Amino acid sequence: MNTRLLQLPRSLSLSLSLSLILALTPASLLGQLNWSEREEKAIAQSTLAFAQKLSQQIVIIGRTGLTTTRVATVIDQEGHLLAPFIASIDGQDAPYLLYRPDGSRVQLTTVAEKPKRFLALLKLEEKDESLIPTRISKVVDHSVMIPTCAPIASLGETPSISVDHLEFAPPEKATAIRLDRSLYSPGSPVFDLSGSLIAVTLASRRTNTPALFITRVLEEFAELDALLPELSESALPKLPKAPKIEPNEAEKIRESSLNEARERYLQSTQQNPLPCVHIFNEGAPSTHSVIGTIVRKDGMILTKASDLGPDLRVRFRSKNYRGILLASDEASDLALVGIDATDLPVVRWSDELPAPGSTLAAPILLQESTEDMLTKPSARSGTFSHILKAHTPTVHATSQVTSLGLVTEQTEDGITIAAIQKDSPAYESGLSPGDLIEKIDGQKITQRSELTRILNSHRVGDELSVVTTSPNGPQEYSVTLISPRLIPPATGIIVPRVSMIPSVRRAPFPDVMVHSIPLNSWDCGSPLFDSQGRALGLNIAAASPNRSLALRPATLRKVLEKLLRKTRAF
Amino acid sequence: MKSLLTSALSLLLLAPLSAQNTENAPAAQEAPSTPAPQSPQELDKLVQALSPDLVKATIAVMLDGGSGSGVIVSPDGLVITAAHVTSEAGKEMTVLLSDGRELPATSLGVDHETDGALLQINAPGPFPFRPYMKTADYRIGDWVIATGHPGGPVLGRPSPVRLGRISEAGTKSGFSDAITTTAMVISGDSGGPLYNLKGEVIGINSNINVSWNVNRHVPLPSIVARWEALLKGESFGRAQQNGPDPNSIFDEPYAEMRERFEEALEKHATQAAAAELLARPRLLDPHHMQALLNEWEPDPEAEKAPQYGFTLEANTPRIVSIIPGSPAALAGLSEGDLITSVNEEIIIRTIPLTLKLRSGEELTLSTDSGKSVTLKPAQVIARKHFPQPVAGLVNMMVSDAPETGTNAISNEEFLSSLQGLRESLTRSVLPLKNQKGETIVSATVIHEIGQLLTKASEIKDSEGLVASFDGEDYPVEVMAIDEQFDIALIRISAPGLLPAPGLLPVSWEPREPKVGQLLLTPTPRGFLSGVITQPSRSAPKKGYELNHRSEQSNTYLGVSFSPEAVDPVIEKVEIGSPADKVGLLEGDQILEFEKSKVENLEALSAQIAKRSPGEKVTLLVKRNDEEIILEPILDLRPRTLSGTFDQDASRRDGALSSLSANGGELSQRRAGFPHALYHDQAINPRLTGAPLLDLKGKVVGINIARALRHRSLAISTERIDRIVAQLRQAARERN
Repeated sequence: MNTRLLQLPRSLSLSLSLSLILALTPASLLGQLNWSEREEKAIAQSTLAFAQKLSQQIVIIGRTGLTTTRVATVIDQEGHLLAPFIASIDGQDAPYLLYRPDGSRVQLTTVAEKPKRFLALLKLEEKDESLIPTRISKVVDHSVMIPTCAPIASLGETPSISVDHLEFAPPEKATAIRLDRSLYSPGSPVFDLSGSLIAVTLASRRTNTPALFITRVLEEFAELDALLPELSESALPKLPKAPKIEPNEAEKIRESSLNEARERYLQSTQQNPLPCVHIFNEGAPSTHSVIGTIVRKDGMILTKASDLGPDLRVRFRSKNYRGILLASDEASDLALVGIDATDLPVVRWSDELPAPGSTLAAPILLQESTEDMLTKPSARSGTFSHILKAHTPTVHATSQVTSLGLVTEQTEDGITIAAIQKDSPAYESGLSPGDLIEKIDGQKITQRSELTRILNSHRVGDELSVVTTSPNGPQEYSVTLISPRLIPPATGIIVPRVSMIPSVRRAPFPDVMVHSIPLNSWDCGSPLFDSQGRALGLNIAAASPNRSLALRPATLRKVLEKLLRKTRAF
Repeated sequence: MKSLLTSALSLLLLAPLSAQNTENAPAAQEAPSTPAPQSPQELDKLVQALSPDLVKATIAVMLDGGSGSGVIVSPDGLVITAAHVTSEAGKEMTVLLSDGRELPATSLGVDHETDGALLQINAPGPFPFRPYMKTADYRIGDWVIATGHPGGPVLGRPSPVRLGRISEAGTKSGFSDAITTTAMVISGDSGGPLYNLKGEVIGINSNINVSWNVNRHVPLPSIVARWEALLKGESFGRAQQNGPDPNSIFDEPYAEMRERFEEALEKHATQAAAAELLARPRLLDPHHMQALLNEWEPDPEAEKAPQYGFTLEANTPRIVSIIPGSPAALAGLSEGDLITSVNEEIIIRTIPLTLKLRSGEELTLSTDSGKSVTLKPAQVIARKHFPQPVAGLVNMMVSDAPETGTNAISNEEFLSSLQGLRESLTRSVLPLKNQKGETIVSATVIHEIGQLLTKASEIKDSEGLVASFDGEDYPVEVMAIDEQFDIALIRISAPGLLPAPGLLPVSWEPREPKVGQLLLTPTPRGFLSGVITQPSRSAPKKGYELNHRSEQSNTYLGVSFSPEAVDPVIEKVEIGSPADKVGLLEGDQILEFEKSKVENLEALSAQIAKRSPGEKVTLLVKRNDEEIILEPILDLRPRTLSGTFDQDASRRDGALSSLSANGGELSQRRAGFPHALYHDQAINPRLTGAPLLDLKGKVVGINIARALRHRSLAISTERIDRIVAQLRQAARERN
């Protein structure tokens, strides 16, 4: 077996954030992209179809005591889930959890764990009719779909679909494929364009992510094999011979969706170029770059406020203007930047809401050589997932004003302690994981909401009595309240060895569109297009790998009106 | 621990010896002033003469995590390199000399503030060395030569020389100051020298901006300033962090500020704004937190910005509100006033007004209500800036310093004497255009009946290709193609039609140009200039240009680590290696080797080197917070044969390509040529197919690829001669 051939060149990966966003030969692009365009259309159809079945086949899971969330795949009628392995806190046998779309959570039974392969086989205790098993296959196409969710999901969140590409078909006897990009956590399921599970990612690394074929997973997972006896290798279709892919083809596919969107946008608005500018800081262009979207022809630009530097320069059509921060809005993180120019192309928003799985595209910055940003369609595409309402809590309780330093779990018996924050007063007090909390501050509690209410009626520094039931009978402890550890809601993670630079401010926001265009912090402020060329919103945060947030036109109009009324103090 | 102590000892012994020797080094002697060549011919002569000696003193510094470069500056083997190459004092490493010798060396002091460092070769000299500059003596516009080992030492390749000019000096660039040049360096060149035309070391390659024209070097005087301390092994500053800490799952760049903010909230709980925040979960961005902190606990040291004291409508300069007590309030401006002029200049829109307000000067404002007031702004705390986190690179760091002064240096004037030559070439070099009229590649006339050479792969997908000459477009017909060299023989008149009148075939120089020879490529306006960087040789495909590998340890585990890694976390397990056989995985961290703790990568490599092939060793490995014990049997390192694919080389090529591609366009087909000339002109892919000329205007080769940041390729005249004969033969046979 010669797996060495599977090493894809690094040149297409996203490693080191910026270095690999390849510049493309412009102009001739549309004429030459027949294959890519076809592929791109096939992808668009596939993601739409996949999104419809997504919530029945893919679930969001976590593990007691941890805030981590991942996606798992339903593999049979009995409620078995093929899930990424999540190391439990302090090596205890904490149960995995299923987060349901309605916000509730269910404990899962662990059938088997394969830490070496980053996989776990889990089972729902009760059969759930709403879930349907996923097809398993070994057919490999050039493009694959990968469902992902936020590293700390919001309640009711649905996974979003990322599309990735293989540079060439794996050899006949290969056991793994290499994905083009690197933005996945290990154990993520990989689907072909027909929506069948074909592989599972093996590691997260800076270069192309390897994904092990599902057949190989079956070989290693005796339990899984027993569950699905009919899925032996021989029963699977042979690996088809894929046509040769030209270098950079994957990049072309990714960019061609913006090409189309861009052409259509320009046609429908009769404008040229796109209503975008590059905003940077005179002192340090690469650490304060963002894109801006022109909203008034006399030099008014909307962008992301929190990433603006102190001395703004705005580049439009190869010309640099001095930029003025006119006003900003804290709630939406929008800023109004002015330049002394007239007759600029103005964005035309569309209030259309795309169907989940629809292809979206946005321009991106090549780190700082942005001369051609608007003429060269440097872009990334992704799919629309869902609307994230403002103030949606994450699976981790973020609604507390003070904290005991505990991670609690709602169980049938009441509130139990799942984990204790190290070095917190609770840690010092002698409380231990597994204890059932009976009373806090003299009040009996059985629900998390009661706990939250008590905590919110106190201040940091107050001392509370905590009575627990343990095998040795009731115990009373005194715990000083601390500030809750602020985990950015729903986001906020740099996954080790994955090169993606998230926005510093990733939350909170008003209602936002969640989509899977992989952005870096400096790509925010750009308009978000659908394949029809409609500008559906403005990208406001690079939240986590393959997960970005965009504000919708209703918010943009409202905030713009406010910003135009009154500037900051001069 | 023990080995560290010994190296510290040997270091103390070495220091006085080196210090003494440098006293007598030629650098101390009065040198004549730096030559400033007045003509391209003069420059050509100087660089060619200097190049061999400059290359000889250049070494590669090989570490387990990667490699850098250095320059020998004394006959007994004192080396100047970069701090981010050696990273700490007293470290044992191997250096590769230009004559192929591999010798042990010990790092002396490191200065992370300037990125300068010293290194001592632990072997008896004398070594080839170069003098170095002690007091700053360089100017913007000076010609300079950089050497080093781009991409690490390559088997059989001497250090390439690269010519450039100083575009900026004294920039703040992440390190205290730097010389910015156009001499193109890349990862692996770090620590290598920058020479002036006297052949003195004036700088040390340190970091680059993605733009090809921004290459930064530590000025030698700043290393000399701490010379004695560095010789003694002293360290200054802390190593620069490269990007976000990969171990921090929760990246909260402003955690400290958040803590301060939460404290302030508690303290000011009586204020409405604080009370409102305290009563809800909050995750404010740094600007928001800073604004509130400024209000509650103003920092007297904070940077100030001017403020006149009013807010405006964004469209028209009408005052919306006035800050009580501000200069605007005191001067009597009031809400609703429309500002009509500033310093007697009429103002209609808000933006031009705010641009003026930004200056912070005393301004006279008039309003529609007839007020005319002169305002001197108050100084208030400025909006603080919070940089976006940025990832960097090891070996050659990509710095985020501004790209200023890059266009300040133009060779146009210097090359102006060659303008006559350029004009005659308009009949010999034609642009090939696609149907949209865009130039896609160049072509060189080799026969006046309309035969030209161009780069085959650039034209293969284009239909309706035309050659532009003398205001006319001539259809292009491909006669024959040499796939190996990527050369196409084309004809620019349809059969039966007259050829384009006035085409002038180029004249050829069959002798191969020398390393350091100044060469030209004609552009639509003038010339690009640059030098031959290394002897001609094949330009292997990705993964086939083999790295020079240290032969010191034959014991092999089969794991490699990311060059960015500090901890021994495995990035790659070689298929079939001892590591693979026992199931070591990518991402595993090796905690213990034979029961002794593994502190870092170097320690692990040293441990492995001490063992013999066939020995079974015990590793304690951390995998997903779980500790496991594995017992691989060490093996003999497999020999890599020349001409075979090498994973490390492939990874290196990929990394160099992507870094290069960010600064400008590379050719699609840029490797896999059986033989090529290597030069350092930043040609763009549209200039491939154009001739590479010597200063007499004779063609020494045809440009075939922009390959990497520091590398352009051309097919030599001698090969072209053979290729053309074959292509003409093939074309005849086809007819």
